[in-house]
Amino acid sequence: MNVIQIDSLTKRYGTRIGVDNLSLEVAEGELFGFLGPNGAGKTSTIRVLMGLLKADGGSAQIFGKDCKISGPAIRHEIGYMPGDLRIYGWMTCRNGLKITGKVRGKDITSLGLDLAEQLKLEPDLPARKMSRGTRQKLGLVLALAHNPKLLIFDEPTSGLDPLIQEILFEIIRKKASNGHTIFFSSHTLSEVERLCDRVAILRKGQLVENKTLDELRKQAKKHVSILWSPTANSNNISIPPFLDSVRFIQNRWECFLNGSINHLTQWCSDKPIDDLVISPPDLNTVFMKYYNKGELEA
Amino acid sequence: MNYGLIQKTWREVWLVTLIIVLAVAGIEVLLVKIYPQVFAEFQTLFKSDFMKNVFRALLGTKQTEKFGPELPKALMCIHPLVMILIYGHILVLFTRLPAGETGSGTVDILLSWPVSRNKLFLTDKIICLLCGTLIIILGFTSNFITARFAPEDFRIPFNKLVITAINLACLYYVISGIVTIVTSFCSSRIKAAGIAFGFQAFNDLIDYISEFWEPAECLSSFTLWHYYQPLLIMDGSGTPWRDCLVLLTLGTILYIIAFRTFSQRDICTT
Repeated sequence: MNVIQIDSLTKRYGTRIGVDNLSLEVAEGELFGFLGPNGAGKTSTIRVLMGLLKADGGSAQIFGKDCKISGPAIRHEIGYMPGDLRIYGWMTCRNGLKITGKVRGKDITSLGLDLAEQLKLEPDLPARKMSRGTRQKLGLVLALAHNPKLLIFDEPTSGLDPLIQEILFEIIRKKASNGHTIFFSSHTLSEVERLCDRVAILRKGQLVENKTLDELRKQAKKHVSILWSPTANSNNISIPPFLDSVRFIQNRWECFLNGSINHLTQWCSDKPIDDLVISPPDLNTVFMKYYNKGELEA
Repeated sequence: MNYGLIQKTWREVWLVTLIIVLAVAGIEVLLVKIYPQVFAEFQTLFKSDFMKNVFRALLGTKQTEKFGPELPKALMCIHPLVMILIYGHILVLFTRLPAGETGSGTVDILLSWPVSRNKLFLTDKIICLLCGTLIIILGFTSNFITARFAPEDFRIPFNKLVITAINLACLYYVISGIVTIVTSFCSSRIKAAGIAFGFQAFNDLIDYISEFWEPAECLSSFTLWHYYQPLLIMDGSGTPWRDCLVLLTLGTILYIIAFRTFSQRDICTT
């Protein structure tokens, strides 16, 4: 069953397009990464899902219910943490849990205070006295304390130190292993790579990729480094068609393999080569390809 | 109503309401104490046309030709300081949602709670209106209690005080409706407060001009002060039920528009 179902979603801001005909699904229990540069439309999509923005076209459903019509019922089962989180200045972890617990109609204080302890958050410190990172922690506690079936994170790690980031990732993994669905938006590949099973890449409001990380790795080209012997004149050697984006660094070639390893090794066998290094696919290159493509088109 | 929402709203409004309750009650006590002492000076001042006009503008009525104790009694209910405090209360409370919350960035969290926008709007506005009513009730109560120790001429009879309070509460309802409607379209509290204040200042200006300038006289019925004239209540010229009805109808229309806008529009941190 799909927890999130988005069909041809479009959101415009005047003449500017925020989300353009976006369709995607997130299955139950999935750890889904939503990746894209700033302004790609990630936050707009999330805000439509949360009912903050009205879509100009298409539909968005969570748990099979329309986000526009059944917002309050859906939000009972969602934990949401917005990017650049701001919290009421008077709110402490303790009174925040009490109030949101009453709003949600269930006692979430004890679970919330346990989470606060894990995140090393003072329960009685008001938000106006908190640093950005501490506010993020409070946001996390409030998002997680009611044990929601679906967690929506919009760049949750900004402002968190690496230690707390690790604790957060651990909590997220634990939630996912318990069958919770995670929708994790980020513009940092390494975060998504560490956490997610599947990733959708958004650029200029459009979905440009939606694959599992393994599929993306298969799609990525291997990195090749060829060290020519000092006697060879590497500038005079013609570049074979299965090597891409060759950069010449002194007597070394840095490039990507666009073919089979057999072709490469056969080609190398009669060349004056001192060293050959073939590295595993670099996902960063795949993502940068999508990002840069957008920049170049612009 | 959601108890969590009530608690959240109350946390945000109780302090400013308490401060304004104390200030309005304090001013009412002072006015009741001072007016009997300066009544004779008032009578002298009233002989000048200029001062007569000032009273006219203050009270928003032409029925200021004869000077009697009704005049200071009416002034106690429409004193500029009291009105400014009440207007300040409206601006502070009613610009919070959605403009204030959008500007401060807390609206994303608020709207992620499992409650409908309708419920959010109604809870917030009902609590704010109750706070406004509390200010009016306690302000007039302090007037009533203090007046027991003032000369009889300066005591506002209980029934007239209640009618004036109801009339003022209706005025509060309309002004808060105007501020709410402006707020529901805005994403910045300062902008919302500025527009609402500008509208109120324009309304006051028209009312003021219409008292002196004959061509503008016809405009007076379009100003809000036309529907709140304590002097007419004090001198027994009539009970302002029609005015209250007009104010209630107008206020309700404004609230319905604001409610629809709040429910329909995109609201999020920018």
